[in-house]
Amino acid sequence: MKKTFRLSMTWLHTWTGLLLGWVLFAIFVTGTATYFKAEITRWMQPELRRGGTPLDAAASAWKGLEARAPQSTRWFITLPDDRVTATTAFWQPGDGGKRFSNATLDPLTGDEVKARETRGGEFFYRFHFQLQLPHPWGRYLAGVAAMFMLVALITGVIAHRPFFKEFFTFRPERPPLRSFLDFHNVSGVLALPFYFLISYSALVIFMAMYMPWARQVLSDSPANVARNEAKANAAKAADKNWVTPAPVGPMLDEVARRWGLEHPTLKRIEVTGRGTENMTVTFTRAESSHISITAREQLRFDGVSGALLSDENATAGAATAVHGALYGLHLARFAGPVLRWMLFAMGLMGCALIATGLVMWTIKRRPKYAKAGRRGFGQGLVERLNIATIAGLPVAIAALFWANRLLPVEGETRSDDEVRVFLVVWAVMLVHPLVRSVARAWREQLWAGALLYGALPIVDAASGPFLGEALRRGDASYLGFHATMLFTSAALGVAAKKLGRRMQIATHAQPRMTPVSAEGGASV
Amino acid sequence: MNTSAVAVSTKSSARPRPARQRLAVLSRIVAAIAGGYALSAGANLVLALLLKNSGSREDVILLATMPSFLVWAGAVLWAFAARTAWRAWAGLLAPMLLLAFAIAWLRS
Amino acid sequence: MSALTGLMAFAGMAALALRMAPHRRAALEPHVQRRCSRLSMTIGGLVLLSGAFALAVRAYGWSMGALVWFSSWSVGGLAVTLLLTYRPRWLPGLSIASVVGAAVWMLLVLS
Repeated sequence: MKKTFRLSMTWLHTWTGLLLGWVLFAIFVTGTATYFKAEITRWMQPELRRGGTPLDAAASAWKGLEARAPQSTRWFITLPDDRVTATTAFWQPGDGGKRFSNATLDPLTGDEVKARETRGGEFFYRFHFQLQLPHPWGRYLAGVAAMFMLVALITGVIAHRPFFKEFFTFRPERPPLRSFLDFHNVSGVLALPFYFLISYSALVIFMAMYMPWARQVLSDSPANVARNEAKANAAKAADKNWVTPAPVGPMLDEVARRWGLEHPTLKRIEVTGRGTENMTVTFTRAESSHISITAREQLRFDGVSGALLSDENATAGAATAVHGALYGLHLARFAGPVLRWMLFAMGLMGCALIATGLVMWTIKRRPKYAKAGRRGFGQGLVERLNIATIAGLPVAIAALFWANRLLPVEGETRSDDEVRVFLVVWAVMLVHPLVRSVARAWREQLWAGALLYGALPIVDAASGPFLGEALRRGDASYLGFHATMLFTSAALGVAAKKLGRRMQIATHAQPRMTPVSAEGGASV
Repeated sequence: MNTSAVAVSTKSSARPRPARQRLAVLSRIVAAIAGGYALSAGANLVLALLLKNSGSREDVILLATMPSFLVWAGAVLWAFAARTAWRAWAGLLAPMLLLAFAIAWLRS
Repeated sequence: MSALTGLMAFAGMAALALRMAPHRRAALEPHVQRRCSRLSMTIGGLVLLSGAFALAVRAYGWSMGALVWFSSWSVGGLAVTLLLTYRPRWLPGLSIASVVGAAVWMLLVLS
């Protein structure tokens, strides 16, 4: 491709990073936010109250679902814990339809909660891999982005190899290209294992979609087809007469005896084949000491007799263990507060890595266009998409939080309206750089973000009693949310200010190619 | 950053590139995406068929599928590291052919 | 326990940074530079990082321990970098403080 292997890899790094950089940035921002999904939901639904142990919540949710979905054959219940306030339930309608219904239940009563309708932290979680696109295109795009990231990481290590001589070096006072490259290198190298794990495990999570061939070739065998048909027929036959399930009380007593009432205790309940002779109830313990999603502790009961079933899948193969570990690693459900904050910090470093990479692409090409006295179409496009993504997405997210507090609490389409506000504001951020100069658009959007996040406590205090109550209770999760928002505001403000100073210098100084040291970094 | 690299890239992209060179880049991109995917899918199939009897079905599927993304990444690197676009294609098609034979043989 | 690993990893990364000439000049007084040889910084850093690894594995098992460990040095390394950028002279003091803090904490936890 190019003269040397390293130059070829540098070229590949530049273009894989650029082409899906904006998608990756959005995925990284929402994914990083998802580490605190529960806390975000808690802030976005401040009416929710906590109470009782997870086992109490399980009993009341069971009662609630019996009233709400009496004919349903499959239930999934996720219980509250130290971080999550409410119970969430999914169930398959009794008519065998594929679409699941869902509800958020009060942990004490089992009734649907009376709180403002919102997607809460779930919005970030879904956006992270579906990108608000129709199914399944969001997941495919996310997969392509993950693959691009994997390639960009490998080529990045090759391209920026000399960096290892300049570990820990960040020189913000140097010319933009140098300081951005420093930060690109620092954030890239320090959290490199994290990026590799996160991009590879992302592919592994949805690999049945991206790489279905092994499954297909192995399910073709006639024996498998016959077995699946027999299973389906059995299920159909069983549907006809309803078998009364056993009471859940004794099962919960057994769960409490084994796992206790404090964290980590019961977290999830799965009911399958409800109303049939094959009904099973699976209780899953909260993750705390295992990374793998398959190494979780489970108790299975026969749903008709109420008897505890023996563990049959105790010996999983090595591949299953690795897969479970990668999957679990990506979701990080096991992480305690310190590790969660560290993962959050590495997520932010990833955002910075992508953002600096995208900006460097434009800085590097500016002198060329300055000399030619015109701006190329590609350059202009990238500059504007950079603004709309790096500065615009945070503004849109802030708008989502504002909408959560300012839209009428009773609104019926409230959660959709919130998302609409997010999308409209983001679209405005996309249009704004078209009517303003690049430098101005950067500064204005960064300032807008800083203001929106900074004013969030005021909006919160003005729109309800929740901030005051949280202060009185010393609610770490609620106040932590505000602290993080204020930190975001400060970071955006500092960025806007620095950019402003840079621009003043740039307009006074001669526009020319920035001299940089020969050692370290790579041409990007 | 490499100052010479900048000089090279500035010079080469300042004047219009010959059509042939563009075509070669395009060809490499196709090789990386389509060829790379075909190669990884082939590796996926061959692994699954080879390991068919060495564990539970689910375990074999996972074992065969997880490495395929690394194969794809490797193929992408190769497609751009090879000295010419022709070599890039040859380097992908040769193992693909091998995998195709293996699949035919394993399924027969 | 992950906070303890974090403290040790931070100090370890700081020691490794202080074996590099430009960072030594920025962070250490000349007379201290002469007394803390680069070799001792290297050894100290590696000892601290391996200690953090041992602690993490002991507390969480191999896979989770490895995750906690590399997360610690990622975030610790970021802290070292930012300190070297904006407050280089604070780095030696803070890393000594975090080693002492980790030691006291360990005594409290293990006793």
